[in-house]
Amino acid sequence: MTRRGLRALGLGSVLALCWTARADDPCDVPAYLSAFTRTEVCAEARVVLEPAHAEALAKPQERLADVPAALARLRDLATADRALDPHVRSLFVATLSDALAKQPELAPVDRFALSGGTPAERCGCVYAALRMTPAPLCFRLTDTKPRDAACDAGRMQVVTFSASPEGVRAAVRHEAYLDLAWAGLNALNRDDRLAPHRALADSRRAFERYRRGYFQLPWELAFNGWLERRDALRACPGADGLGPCRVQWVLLHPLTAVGVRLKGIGDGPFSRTAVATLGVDLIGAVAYTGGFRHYLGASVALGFDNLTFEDPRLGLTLHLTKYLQVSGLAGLRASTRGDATILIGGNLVGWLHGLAD
Amino acid sequence: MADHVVFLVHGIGGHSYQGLERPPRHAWAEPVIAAFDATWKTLPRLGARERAAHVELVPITYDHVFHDYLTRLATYARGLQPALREALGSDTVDDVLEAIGDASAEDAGFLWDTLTDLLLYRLGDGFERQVQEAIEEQIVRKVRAVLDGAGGGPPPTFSLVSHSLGTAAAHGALHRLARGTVGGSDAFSLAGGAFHLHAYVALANVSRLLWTSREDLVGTTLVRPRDQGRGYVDTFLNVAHVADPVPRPRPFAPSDWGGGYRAIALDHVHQPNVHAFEHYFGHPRVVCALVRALYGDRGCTEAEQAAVVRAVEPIVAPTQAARMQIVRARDALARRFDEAFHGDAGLLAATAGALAALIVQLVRARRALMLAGEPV
Repeated sequence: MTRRGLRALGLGSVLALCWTARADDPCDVPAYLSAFTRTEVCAEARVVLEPAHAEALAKPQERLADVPAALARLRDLATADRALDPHVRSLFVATLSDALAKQPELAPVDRFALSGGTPAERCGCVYAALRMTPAPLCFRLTDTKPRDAACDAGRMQVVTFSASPEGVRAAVRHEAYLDLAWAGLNALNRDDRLAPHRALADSRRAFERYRRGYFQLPWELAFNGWLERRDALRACPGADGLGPCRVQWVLLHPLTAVGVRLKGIGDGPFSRTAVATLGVDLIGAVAYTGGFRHYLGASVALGFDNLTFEDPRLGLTLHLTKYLQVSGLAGLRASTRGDATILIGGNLVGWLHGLAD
Repeated sequence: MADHVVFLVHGIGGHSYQGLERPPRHAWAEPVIAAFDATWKTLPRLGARERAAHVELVPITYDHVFHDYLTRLATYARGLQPALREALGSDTVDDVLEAIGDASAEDAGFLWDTLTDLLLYRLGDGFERQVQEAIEEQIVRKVRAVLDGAGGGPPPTFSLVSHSLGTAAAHGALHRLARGTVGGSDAFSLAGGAFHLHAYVALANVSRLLWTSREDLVGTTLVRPRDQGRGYVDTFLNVAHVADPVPRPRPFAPSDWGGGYRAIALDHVHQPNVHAFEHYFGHPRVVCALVRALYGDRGCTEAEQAAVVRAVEPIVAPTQAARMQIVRARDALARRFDEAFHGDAGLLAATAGALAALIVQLVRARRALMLAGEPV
């Protein structure tokens, strides 16, 4: 047999190893792609060589011609579906054939060099290249014992080869095939990995802005957390969603502000006085904009002019942006009924950190 | 490229005081990695090899999430303090605000360093999700960097070791990754089949205690061995120290998780804080179990593991008397915890009782060491 013929036979063997399935026995599985779909674990899976598949390798140019189309289709598929799509098989078989043709001497089987042992022993349990599959593959020769506890426990799918030189070579090539298959799938999945990374980075930035928004005191954190766990009144992204909730409740939130005290609005002499006021947002809510950069909201507020508790005033606070809030408060006592205080306050914490950021 | 990438997720307490810096600093991991490396060197098959060439340890930090909040809380308290001082004239309120103003300092103390982490994570608006997403992002970023840059040959596997609060946070993060799509992609989901963890190691596991879903964690989590059907990890190692009270309330103890799950009990005392990450992670039983999960017998056989464990002094003390004192204290604690945390009932009372016992025993152990002339 010529060298070309031998190569074709070897490639055909690899193809058959990877492609052949016998549906009547659940443990007769294609060696690699089946692992994506298997839920049961077979202690041992037989791989059957079918010479007919060798014929497919005779015309590599025809196979390779379909690769761009197959690749384009695969890019539109979900990750899980790629593994099931028959085009994956043709793509990788074509890739494999091409690569093996340029690589007569295959790389060492086991990257984790063993101390001692013959090549046959090292093939006793070649660790799976395709670790991305739900069930890792394990290879072993028929007359050697499993070298890995996971094989013993039946937690690995095991593909057996004969211990003959040809069997060892087949195992080695099988491993090489898996490397190539993995590299191909890995390249295809690259874009899929980017999307989660971007989404999580966006969510991190959203959380950072949220924390720099209307500052929450510990009891507000607890109250909002309680609502969030009950999925109530918070407009949260849901269990599988990312980022903070859109609505944040305000509860008993003290703040200091400067304002103008207006006397005699209804009757009597009108006067304006600048005051420092201790305010408390009793209850309210703010809603965040799309990028969590700003919020709008309102709360019922209580104010104490000149930092004394002699003249409490009740009113409404509008939270206009991340940095500004305006309150209108009216006197509660009979002596000050008709007076008002207009407060202009700021989210000091957000302001400081906003500037710092 | 290493054979295995192992993420390290820290527990409760201050782990990053550079929270607003990007990327956050991982100085906390240095003693943890040093403890692992020290034991690695004792492994017969691997000791002569450089650990980093085979196992890359990648710290994941989330403490900056809590620290950022405390920084803002301190700023808020300092801003409010003058007005409240004048309005209320109360020294007590002033003192409280003063204390809050120091909340983010490096020497803020046990309350701010630890309990606030726990309270914020369990009760605070969105902190649980923010922390879990921080862990997810760091995992995804590293996996991307490794796999995108991978050439031919077998890719590395990914594993994760978490400690204390980190066990709950990492478990939640992995469950979220496994459960559904992220950003519309199922590249990391269980259904996608393109990513899973090779080994998951939980040290002082509090996942069940801090699990916020109404469904039972053990029954619903996807962070379970794959031989149980729908599982996201090959091997699940659950490690607890007999004298560590932290993992005792509502213990994580699945009874039917098959061969992929293994519970490991430690009883060594090499330092007063038996709960410390490095105290767990440096023990050869943990190191060998992880190495066996990564490499099987090629990394460490059971016989070798037994020999390495035997070679380690279980109690480190300057004198025999101190050693006996520590053994008595440890055993008394273990008994007390066994009694107090039997089942899930009476959690609060049991926790209070056990903590009281813990304090008494720690004081005794400390006194024993000090009497022996060893500063603690």
